[in-house]
Parts: sequence; C-alpha cells; structure tokens
Amino acid sequence: MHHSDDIANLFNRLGAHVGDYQEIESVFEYHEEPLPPTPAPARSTTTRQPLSRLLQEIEQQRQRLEAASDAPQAFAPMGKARVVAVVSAQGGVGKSTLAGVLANALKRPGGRTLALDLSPQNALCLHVGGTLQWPGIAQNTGGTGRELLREGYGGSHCLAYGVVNDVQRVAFEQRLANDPLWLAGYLAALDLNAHDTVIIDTPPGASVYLSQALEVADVVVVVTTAEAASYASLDQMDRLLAPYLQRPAPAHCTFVINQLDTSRQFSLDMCAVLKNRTGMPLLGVVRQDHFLSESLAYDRDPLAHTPNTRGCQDALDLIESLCELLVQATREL
Amino acid sequence: MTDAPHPKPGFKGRAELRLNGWLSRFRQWRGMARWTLILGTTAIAALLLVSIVSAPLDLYTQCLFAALCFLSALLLKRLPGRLPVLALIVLSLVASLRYAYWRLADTLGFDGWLDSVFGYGLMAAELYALVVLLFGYVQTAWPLRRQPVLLAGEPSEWPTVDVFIPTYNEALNIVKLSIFAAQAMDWPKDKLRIHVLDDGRRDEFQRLCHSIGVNYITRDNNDHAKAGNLNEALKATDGEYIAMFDADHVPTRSFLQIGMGWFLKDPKLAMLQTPHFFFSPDPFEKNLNTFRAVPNEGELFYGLVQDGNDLWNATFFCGSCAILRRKPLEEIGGVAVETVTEDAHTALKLNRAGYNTAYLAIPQAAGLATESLSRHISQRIRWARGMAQIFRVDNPLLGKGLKLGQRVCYANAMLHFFYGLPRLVFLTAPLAYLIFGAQIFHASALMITAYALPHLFHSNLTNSRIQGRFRHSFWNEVYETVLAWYIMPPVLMALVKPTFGGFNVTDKGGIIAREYFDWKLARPYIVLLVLNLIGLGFGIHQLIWGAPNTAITVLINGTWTLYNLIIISAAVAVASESRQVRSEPRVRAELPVKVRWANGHEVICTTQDFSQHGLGFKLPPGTTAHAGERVRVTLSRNAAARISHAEFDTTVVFSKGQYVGVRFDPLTLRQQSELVRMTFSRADTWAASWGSGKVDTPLSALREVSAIGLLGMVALLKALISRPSDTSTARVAPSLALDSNLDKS
Repeated sequence: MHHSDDIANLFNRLGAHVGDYQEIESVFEYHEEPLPPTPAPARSTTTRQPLSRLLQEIEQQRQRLEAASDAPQAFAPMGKARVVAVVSAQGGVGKSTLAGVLANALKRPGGRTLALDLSPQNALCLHVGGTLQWPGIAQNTGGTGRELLREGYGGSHCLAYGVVNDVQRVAFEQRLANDPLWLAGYLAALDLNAHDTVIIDTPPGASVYLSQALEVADVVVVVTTAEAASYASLDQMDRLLAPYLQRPAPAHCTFVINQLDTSRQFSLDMCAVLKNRTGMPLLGVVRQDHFLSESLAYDRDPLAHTPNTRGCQDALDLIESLCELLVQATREL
Repeated sequence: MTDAPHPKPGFKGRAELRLNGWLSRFRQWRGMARWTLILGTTAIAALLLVSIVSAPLDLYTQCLFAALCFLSALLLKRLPGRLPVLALIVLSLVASLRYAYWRLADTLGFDGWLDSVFGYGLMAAELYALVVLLFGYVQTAWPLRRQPVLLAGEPSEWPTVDVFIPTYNEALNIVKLSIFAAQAMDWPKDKLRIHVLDDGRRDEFQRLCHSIGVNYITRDNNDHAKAGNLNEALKATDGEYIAMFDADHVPTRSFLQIGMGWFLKDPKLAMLQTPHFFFSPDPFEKNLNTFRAVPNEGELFYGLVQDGNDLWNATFFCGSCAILRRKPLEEIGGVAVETVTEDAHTALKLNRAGYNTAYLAIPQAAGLATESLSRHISQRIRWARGMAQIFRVDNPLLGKGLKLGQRVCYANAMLHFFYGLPRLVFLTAPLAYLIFGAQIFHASALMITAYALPHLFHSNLTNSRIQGRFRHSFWNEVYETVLAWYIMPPVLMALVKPTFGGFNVTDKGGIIAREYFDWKLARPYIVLLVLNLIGLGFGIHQLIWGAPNTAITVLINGTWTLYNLIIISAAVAVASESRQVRSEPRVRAELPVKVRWANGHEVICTTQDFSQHGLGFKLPPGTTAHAGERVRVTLSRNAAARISHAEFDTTVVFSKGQYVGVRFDPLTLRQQSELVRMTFSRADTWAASWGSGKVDTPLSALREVSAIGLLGMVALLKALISRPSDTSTARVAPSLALDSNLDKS
C-alpha cells in the first residue's frame, strides 16, 4: 500500500514496518458562516451602455411580457419539457461534470429532471451516481426510452449513452444523421410535461449529436474555460449555433466559464475579456474546486457532501440563473 | 527507539546477547531448581553487599577503593548496551551505601541543640536523597522501549472510540485545533465520536461544535473540575475506548492506530499513555534560551521515567494524550476525584484492580507549554499537592493489589515531589558552619571527601549515563531550586491534612510585552543568593584570618557554597522573563510547500514554521517575494503523488532575504480543517524532534549551567539598576488566549 510521506517517515524513524496502516480520509459536513469578501481582482472598465438605455430595455421587455400574458394562457401541463443542451467547442472543459451537477440540483417546481447523455464517452451517468452498466440509448434495444431511465442523485433521472462497440456506435450515428428529428421524437415518447427539464450532454465540437441536441434545445449552455484557446473556440461555437438561431423562437444561448483559477492574474484577465465579448451572454462563472472533481472518484454527490466549497456554491448560483432563464423561456412560448 | 550514544537501534552488547542466551536456557529448568538458584544467588549477593558496605576502612584504603571504583565506572560508561548500566548502578549503590553506613555509624555525635538541629536536618535530607536515588535506579535501569502494535483486520472490525476534549476557559481558537485534528485522525468515521466537554458552557463553542458536527457536552455544575467533567461525559457516551486530550493538545492522525494495537493484544490493558510533547518552549527554555538544545524538564519523565515504569507495569496516566478502556475505568468508579492529580490516582486504582498500563514513547500529540514561570510554578504546585495527597490517602507502599515493582515506582513518583525541604536544606547546609560555626558533621574533612565525593561522583556519572539523552547533569538541581520554595508549603500541608483546599498562585498571565524581571517570584532565590554570598564572605574571611586547622573544612564548605551559588544564580536567570513576541506561538517544522505567484511562477520550497494564521518558509535562491504580494501556497502530505493537498490564498507580510512570512486570508471551516490536516496532524513532525538533543557530558553541562548563572547575575544587576521604571508597566492586560484559572494538568 502506498502511504503518505508523513506515515512513511514516522515508521522509518521507529524502525518498524509500516505494514497495513490504513489512511482513512473522513469528510465531515461543515456549515459555514459567510466570510468577509476577499479582495476582488481589479476589473478592467469597458465601454458600458448608458444606464438609461439598459432601463429602457428592461421596461420594453416587461411590456412585452405583460402583453403576452394578457393572451389566454396556453397552460399546457402536457406540453414540451424544457431542454438544456450543454455543449462546448473544446474538450476537457468540465462539461459532463457540470451537466451532472445541473442534473443533480436543478429542479423546477412541480417537475422532474432528466439527464440525457449524447456523448459516446458515457460519463454523465457516473456523475449522477450511476455505473457504466446502466443501459443506454445507443444500444438500440428497441422500445421507448422509459425502460432505460435510471434514478440518480437528488431524485433526478438519467438516460445514459450506454457502453457500445464501434459498430453499434456508427450505426447509431447513421440513424441520427438520417433523421434530424430523432431526438425530438424520442423525448416526446418519454411522456414529459412542461414542468420537466432535460439536460443533454454532448461531445465537444461539431457532431451529429450536437445537431440533434440543438434541434430541441430551449437553452444552450456553452462551457468554456478561461484560457487563450477559449477565445477562438467561442467564435467557432457561434458559427455552429448560427443556423439554429435563424429560426423563429430560437434557443437562448449562454456560456459558462468553468474551472476558473482565481490565483492567476491571466485567468482573471481572460475571464474579463470573455465577459466583454459581444454575442452570447455569460450565465455564470464556476471557480476551480478540487472537491467537485474529486467527488466523482469517491462516488458521491458533491452538492450533498461538500456543498459549501466554492465550486459548489458557484454551481448553485449558476443553477439559479439557469432556472430564471428557463422561466423566461417558458413565458416566451 | 534508538539509544543515542549508540548508532544502531536497540543495539545489544555482546554480553547482553550472551545473557539472553543463558536466560532462555535457564527458563527451561524446573521450578524448584530455578527458585533455589535465585534465592541462593540473592543471598550471596546480599552478604557480599553488606560486607562491602560495612567494611571499615581507613582513609588511605578508602581513597584507593573509591578511586578504583570510579575508574571502572568511567570505563563502563563508554560501553554500549544495557548491562554496563546495571554494573554502573551496582558500583554507585556500593559507593552511596558505604557513605550512608559510615554517615550513620560515625558522624552523628552532636553537642548542643544548634548542632543537633542542623545535623539531623541534613541527615534527614540526605536520607531522602538516598531513597529517591535507589528508587530512581529501580525505576529507570531498564526502560521497556515498547514498540507499537498495528491493528490487524478490517476497519469495519475496529472498536468504537470516544474522544474527550475537556475544556474550561481555554480560548476557542486553541481548542479548535484539537477538534479539527481529532476529526482528522485515521479511524473509520462511524467508529470515531468526538466530544467537547465544556465546563465553561460557552455559546461560541456550542456553535462551533454544531457547525462542524462534533458532540458538545456540558453539565450544570463544575464539581471536581476536570475529573467531574470527564465522569459526567462517561455517563453520556458509550464507546468501547476513550481517548483523552487536553484542550490544547493536538493529536496526530496516527494516534489511534498506533496506540490501539496493544489493547487488542492485551485484554487486561486498561490505559496506554503517550508523551506530552511541547511545540513551544517552556519558561526555562524560553528565558534561558535553550529550546531544543538542552532537553526540557518533561523529557526526562516522558522519555525515560515512564518507559522505566512500563517495565514494572506502573505507567501512570497523565491526564492527556492517552487511551483508556471504558470497562475498567467504569469499574473503578470513573476518574478519581479524591485528589487534585486525578490522573495518577486513576492509574493507581487501575493497577490495584489488577489491570495493566502501558507506555509508548512516541510523541503523537503536541501542545503549548506553560507560558510563564508563574504559570509553570502553579502547575507544579498542583501536581506536588496531588501526589502528596495520594501518598497520604492511598499510599502505594501499603494496601493490596500492587506488585513490589509497582509500589516502588509509584512511591518514587510521589516522593520525587517532596524535594522542597531537602533541596532548601542542601542549599543552606554549608552556611551552618560558615556563618554559625555549627559542627554538623562529625568527621575529619578528608574522611568526608573520601566518602562523600565517590557517592556524589558515582551518582552523577550513573545518572548521566542513564538519563543523558533526556536530562543534562546539574539541571535537576536548577529545576528543583526554582520550585523548592513554592512547593514546600503545599506539600507539607497536604501531607498533614490532605483534604485542605487550594494554595494556588493563580496568575493571570498575558502576552509578555517586554522583557522584565519577575521580582516577586524571584524573591526566594535572591534571599538564598544573598545568604550564600554572605556565607562565602565569612568563609573567605576565615580562610585568611582564621585558625589554620579549620582550613580544609572551610574549603569544603566554601566549595559547596560556590556550587550552590551557581545553581541559585541559574534559577535567578529563569526569573528574568524574556519577551514573548506572539500571542500564539509558531511551530517550527519543515514541511514541503508549493508557492505560486499571480503571474503563474511556481516554486517548491520548505516551511520554517507554521501556525493557524500563517506560514514562514525559505525561498530557493533567485526568487524573492515582496510584502503585500498575494501568493497561493499549497501544502501536501504526499509530495510525489500530488494527492491530498490543500491550497490557501495568502498575503506576504514579511520578507527578508530568502525568508518569507505569509498570512492566510480568512479561512472557512473547511479550509481550517484542511490546514490542520496538512500541518498539525502530520504523523512525523513531533517524532522527528523527539530525543534529538545533545547527549549529556557532565563537565560541559556544568560549564553551561555556570554560564547561565553568570547571565542570571547580570540580569539581576540590570534589573536592580532599572527597578523603579520596570515593574509597573511590564505586563499587558491579560489576554483570553493564555488564561487558565484552573491549572492544566
């Protein structure tokens, strides 16, 4: 067994064999009190819109909503569920982890949350507390997705991608390529109502899975990191999203800066640059937090186990913003 | 454990190996034959001893004999292993018993009441010293050097442990360390219950315990102080084992796994004690500037005496850093409440009930030493009073349930604290002759030299060999001198009337803002100093103008007075309190740390010290840090594998050359817990500096003590000159952190 330095040193000093010393890392739950705010990094001032202009826009928005609500409410509990597509142009930005966190903690009143994995990496089921043995949509066992539903953390449900060989995967992708509305039909068969939320995880970059997800998405969350490469990748994302935004009632596109390292000035500067970029609005920033990434190793829900770490707190804030966006999306329909 | 003058751990000399061989063959003999051999050898040895001790020799033969013994002792001292120690002890016993026999037989004819009083007084003090010497040899001749036994089996089979952290008025940020460290111990979470026993019933403690998920126990009274607190908690919990830590003792993560093995191996084991290690200097080390150079006062006890006790199954409980089994503890009625040293008394009761006690000489918890001399003295007074109470109320030499070895060890532990009066007698004995001309020793000066010097030299030499790693020569006298005057009245009172209440010098110390000289505390030493100086003066006068046939006597008494002066001036030096720069001391330790600046630049270096609020480290050449810079430091327990690390954002507050000090940003509870896990909880920090001081050589120790004595005199003179401005402004208002009404154990 490989031991930490201090245990090894101690037993060396004793001239004894370290043998079966067990290193047990117990994690206790702490209820933190709010800390005084740490010194905020200097933000670069950019040309902001004049305040009056912003207030005007808010008022216009409000009037639009009031006009819409005057119309008879198409109160449709049997309508389409809200779909959130979690996408990225680069790999390794923490998309599956973030999608998992969203699935675990996001719960709209009166509805259920479904995590759907369209990524051959099949990682999403692990983040919601499942195993690779879970059956998946790519396995083509016939029937509707209802038999494939499994329960994860926080009362959420999960439809895994499934472990498939290359032949099966290619066949699945061929089906998706032939039928651009395959996913829409699949979701319709799941008997979801307007209060439910579907979180879709996709592989990075352009793919047949991304197209399927963008077809049905109400909100698109582009995950990126505060690196130099992110700047270009967001442009690429814009190009990928462009065709879907031309339609009537397009999805809301937002982006999230994930794994922000606040100790590096470069990261903070990059973060500011991305925020100031015109185009998609920023949904939120999630700071780097090793508890969040390690929770997968220990098979536990980070939001249940270590909810007070900075990453989890940021994720919870993000979920709030996402909920507001979903409410807005509902109203606009 | 290593035997320091000898490089290999547990090195056995050739003679010892041969003896082990004989012993194993001997054990195979039949019972009757063995007993005959043992009794026969004992009888012969006893006869031999008696004849050697009582043989009257004239001056010349005695000197020759003494010289021969001393030469053999010097040779034996160099041999490694345990058997030469036994041989040294025998030689020392011969010398001391010869001296005692001659003393009692030949030197006690006194004329006049003055002579008799001084004479018998000195005799009694010497008898006390002899008994303590003898019992001390029994106690420390063969330390057991127990090795830890690791637990076998799965963690799910390990027993449940209740961790008790009793507190009364210690500050929250000190107890917090112990609580976090207790949580960080390597033990299955469902089998580890942590309880904070708050006799102060403070809200902030309750809030903290609630926030971090440890149990908070209070009671509605404070009867019997700590013992009562522990007993109430015993009733409210049910773990199989109990680990106790004082509020300021921080355990390492390996404490339980290292200690528990013996309990599973020996079903009759009721208590396992580990050393109290201090990461801050005690008043002696602080004021005399000997931290980690000269072993501190506690190292003799925790390094040697308890280890020696362990051989005789007489290890006693010290109130903290120990594991107890619940059933035996409840069987004897919980922690003892009859005396103020409830810990030693509890162990005595356990031994009487037939249970075993054990000691592991591996420091697995560390804490703050007493901050000022007055605190130190009140703590020792409490111990002395308690031991005297036990001696009266539950004497180990009487009563059933103890073996002979246990009786001797416990008795010595208690007798040790009665040194007050004898020490004062020794410090003033020569003055009886020099000032008053009393003849308290009826023998010619040369005979005294021939008998007393071997006794003194042998006991010094033997003790230096036995204790050299844990106590330097002559320091014993310094420690005793500092405490003698204060210990004497409570001990006498407790012996006469054990149930009489407190005599506590409750001093509300605080941060010592400037160095100052504690006049009030130093008064007895100054009195002794003055008396001895006067005596010396008389002696010199008599040498020059007195009768020539008294010259040798004057010389002997004068030398004795000079020796006393050295010791007393060293005691005076301790009273000169040096400035205590920080309210919370930093722990000196070298841990690997990664430092990263905001521009991404990263270095790996070593810390110099750490505390709850910051770190000090040494940068590699070529990198610098400026005050005010923000850096992120990462501490880890496994530098190679990069797992298990903790990061902290900090601001540089001190930068001088390569040495940098940083202060942490306000830490969340989680971060504070991580910090404790990476620093205080490390299993190897305390063990690394245990027993690593310089080994004793009597002559260099004498030089050292004399040097300190000189410094003490200088400090005294300086304080005399600047006296009027000094005393009023020396102390800052007491800070909560260091206050302790009830002395810690």
